[in-house]
Amino acid sequence: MIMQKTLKYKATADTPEIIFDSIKNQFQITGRSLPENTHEFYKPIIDWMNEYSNTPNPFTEVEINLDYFNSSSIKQLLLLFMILEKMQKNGSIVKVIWYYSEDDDLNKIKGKEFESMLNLNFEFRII
Amino acid sequence: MEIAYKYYQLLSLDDLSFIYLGDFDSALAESFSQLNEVSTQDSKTVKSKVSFLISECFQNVIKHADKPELVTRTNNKPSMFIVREINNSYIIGSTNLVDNTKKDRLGEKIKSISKLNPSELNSIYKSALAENENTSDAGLGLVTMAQKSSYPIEFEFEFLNYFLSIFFIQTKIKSKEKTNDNLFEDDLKERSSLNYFKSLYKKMIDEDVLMIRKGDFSQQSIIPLLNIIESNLSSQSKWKGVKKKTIYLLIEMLQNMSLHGKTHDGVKSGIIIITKKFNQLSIISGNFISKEAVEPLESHLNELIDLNETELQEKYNEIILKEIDTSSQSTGIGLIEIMKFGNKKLSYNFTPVSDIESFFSMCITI
Repeated sequence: MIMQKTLKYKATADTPEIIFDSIKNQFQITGRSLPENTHEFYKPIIDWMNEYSNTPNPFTEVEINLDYFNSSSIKQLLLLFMILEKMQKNGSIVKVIWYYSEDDDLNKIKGKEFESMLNLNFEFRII
Repeated sequence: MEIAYKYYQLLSLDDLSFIYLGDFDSALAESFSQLNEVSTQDSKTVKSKVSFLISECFQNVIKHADKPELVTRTNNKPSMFIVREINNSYIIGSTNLVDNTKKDRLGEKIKSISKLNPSELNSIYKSALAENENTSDAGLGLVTMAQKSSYPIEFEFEFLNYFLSIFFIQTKIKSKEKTNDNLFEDDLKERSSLNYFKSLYKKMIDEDVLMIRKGDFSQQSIIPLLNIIESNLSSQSKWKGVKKKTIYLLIEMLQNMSLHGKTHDGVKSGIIIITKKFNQLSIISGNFISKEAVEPLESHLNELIDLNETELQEKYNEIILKEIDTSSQSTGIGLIEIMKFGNKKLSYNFTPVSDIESFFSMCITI
């Protein structure tokens, strides 16, 4: 199967913008993640990342900048991070940059929770 | 907890209710209109009329509410906005404080406008526009409200003190053509009356209720509702610190209702209430569940409530790392998230409503 080099979704009122571009080495999830059917929304994204993980770039930095996300999105993000964790284990340099605003301790806590569950590099940045 | 079922019963004849007490701005009017857009199945014409009236009511409060916010708060008489869909009609109303020196003139203006027929209303509207009259004195707004309404504008002034009165105003639009006007059936008439509006206002103030949303909790209605709450919390400095947490918890409670609530009369009907007591916000949700679901849910809730912070986090990690059917929208961690981020222990209540249903409500304090 030939992998698509890019995967892009525009943001909507309840789904985030997705920019996964293996050529530009750009991987971003931005906005709100409150889809009605989270599995349906994230499946192509997870499939894409799975495919990418077979021949990843030497350095992969995934930027997560979500202002709100529901608990079913948390599960999907975890699946995505598990793929990145596997990439890192296989020798790729991988990092997750988790953005949060200064007045949003809860968002930072959620990021820290992911970090504690995984063997994956996380960097926390204030927006 | 009975508060959820109590208000649900008070609004039981409503297909949709949205009642908001607090600060008003134009951005909120936009969010209310969006809520109206997604919450109804009516024609574009009706939706447009409702949106217009929502906007006019907001403008009424923003422009004409007398006295600064401080006085409103000191008197504990906040402004209120209400939109209800009841028996295929819409009721849109607002309340705010007005200076007693202005109420007679305002009252006379509304009465005179209410006596006009559509053609006379059009004529006044056109001449006001043509003369480029300063319409900030409630003139044009009231004329256009009268034009869009299916019934005369109802209003009342309730004396508060030497300086101020509370001004209640509501309009109604028919959403469907009916040969019999059901609004005149006794129970509906009572529930649609201005007196009922006033009684809701008093109850909400007495019980520190800031907002009520009752109706079908579909996914589409979640976003405008979040926008309204976010906007309200952002505008008040004392709540800014809890804004994000409030929205996060609201998201989980709304989705909990959407996923697990039982269909009642063909819709996933429920209620969300936000209260403010002793400077703490609480979110209360209420929805129907089958009687069979009560025991397992109660058992699950009690299990989680008994856990301390560390045990709750461990439970969260255990569930989320488990291989589960990821195609299921329900992850099993929604309730845990609610409990983790609330300020106090979650409380809940089951109210049997029939042989096959119970009304489940839960409350989390932020």
